[in-house]
Amino acid sequence: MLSRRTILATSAAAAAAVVTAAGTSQASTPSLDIKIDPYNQTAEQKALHTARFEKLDQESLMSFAEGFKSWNGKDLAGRGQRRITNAFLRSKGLTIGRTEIGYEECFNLMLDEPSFAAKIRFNRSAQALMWDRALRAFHGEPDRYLALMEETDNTGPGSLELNPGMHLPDYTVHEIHAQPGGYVGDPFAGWIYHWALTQAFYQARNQYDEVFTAIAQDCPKPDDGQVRRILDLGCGSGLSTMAYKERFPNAEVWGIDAGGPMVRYGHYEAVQRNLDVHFAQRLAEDTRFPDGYFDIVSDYLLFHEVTVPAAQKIMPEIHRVLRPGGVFYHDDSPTIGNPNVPMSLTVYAKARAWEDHRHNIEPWILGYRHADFPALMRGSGFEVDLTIRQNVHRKRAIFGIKPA
Amino acid sequence: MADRKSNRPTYTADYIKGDFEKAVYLDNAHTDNLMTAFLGLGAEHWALRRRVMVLEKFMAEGNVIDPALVEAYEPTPEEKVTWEAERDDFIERTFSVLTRATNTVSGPVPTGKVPAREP
Repeated sequence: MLSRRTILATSAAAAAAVVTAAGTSQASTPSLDIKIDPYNQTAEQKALHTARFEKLDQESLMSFAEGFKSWNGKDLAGRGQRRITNAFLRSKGLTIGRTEIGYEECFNLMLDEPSFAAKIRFNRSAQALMWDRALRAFHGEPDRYLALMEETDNTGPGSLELNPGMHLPDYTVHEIHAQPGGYVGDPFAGWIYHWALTQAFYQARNQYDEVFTAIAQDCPKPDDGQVRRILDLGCGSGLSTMAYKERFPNAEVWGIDAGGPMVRYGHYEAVQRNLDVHFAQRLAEDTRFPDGYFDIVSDYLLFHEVTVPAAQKIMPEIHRVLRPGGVFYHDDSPTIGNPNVPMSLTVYAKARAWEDHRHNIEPWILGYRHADFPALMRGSGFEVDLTIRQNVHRKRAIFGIKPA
Repeated sequence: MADRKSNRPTYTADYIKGDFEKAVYLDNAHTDNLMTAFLGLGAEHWALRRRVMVLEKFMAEGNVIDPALVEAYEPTPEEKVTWEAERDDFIERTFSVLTRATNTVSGPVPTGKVPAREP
């Protein structure tokens, strides 16, 4: 049986040959663009993209979290969830449609409905179980996992920039998603995020990086087809960053994030995949790249994790580092101003949104929901494209073009 | 920030700790805790089921284990120590939630920072 490293070495050699052949005429030909079907990957692609726990019990505990979260999401109150909720709201004299009642009040109202309360309890407990069991796997062997990262901190391919003394705005240091320590406070935050997320968080939809591969594959190119440099903002553990490099192997690909442990793990994983990707611990509002440096700037789920004032600083920064004609590819949760993804404002929907905000620690998501994001983009000089592309799997994606 | 135990760099920073672990959603905290313990037991049960399924597969394919010996097995003194430690860890993992501190979670998200976690 081929080991993961053997497969990686074989794939890297093939990729290097392709890059070399294309690189000689890069300036006059369209950028190399590798098509990968996220949902029909080859055995080698799956081997590259998987993050399976080493021990059977760890894998099994995560398997349980995956299955339970899925069941809780759709089955706890049975198919009568809507009927139960509507009957409950009517019994309280409340509307089942859009409401002006505040988010927290909706949550507290719905807690009086037993199946809702049980669903929330199990949702929170399953999330805690997922993080706890993943955390135990890495904190159970701390020296080993620290040593693995130390081995690759200063080696390539690619590079890693860590800035342990940098100022981290308070908005970046919360325990987002109720992950213990958040993205900055746990040495293994990147491992925990990737390994728990791969199975349980996406409930089996991302066992082979399908979500991140699809995001990179769906990204539109500038009209001239040239993709020489890509910036992945708020890259987390680097899964989307690596997916961009797989699609555009002769592009210079950067991933930046406020979390040192996140980009450190991203670099470690990129070295395992033999991908020449650059990771840096930097802020999205201060990327420190030259004007017009990038052809594409992307963010996946960044803006709902920053404050509105921070978003107002980040947007001009994206515009600054994009070259004329460059593409800003934004994919996040529903927001006012995106008619492709209508936002539900019923009591039930607001109650679930409050759970996410307050009990799953998404401190800034309500601000994002009610910010007119396309208007924010236009205010920074972008032409906004809300067209749903046939190949874009998430209709919530919003594209910004920097006018040529 | 360096690991306080070994001075190995961990590149962590102090963070704002959430209070979500103290939340109560049901009629009282003990009911919440029992549901969490119940969930943990389900996870442990599923892990055990998967292990047994793997073992049974290899047993059937290789004819390497006599099921009667499995049924009659007595752990050695060394195994007894190891297994009891595993048992205690299982109990802590599953039931320690019953001792968690609880509070009313309302109002704004906390803003007080705590030291970064150690490896």
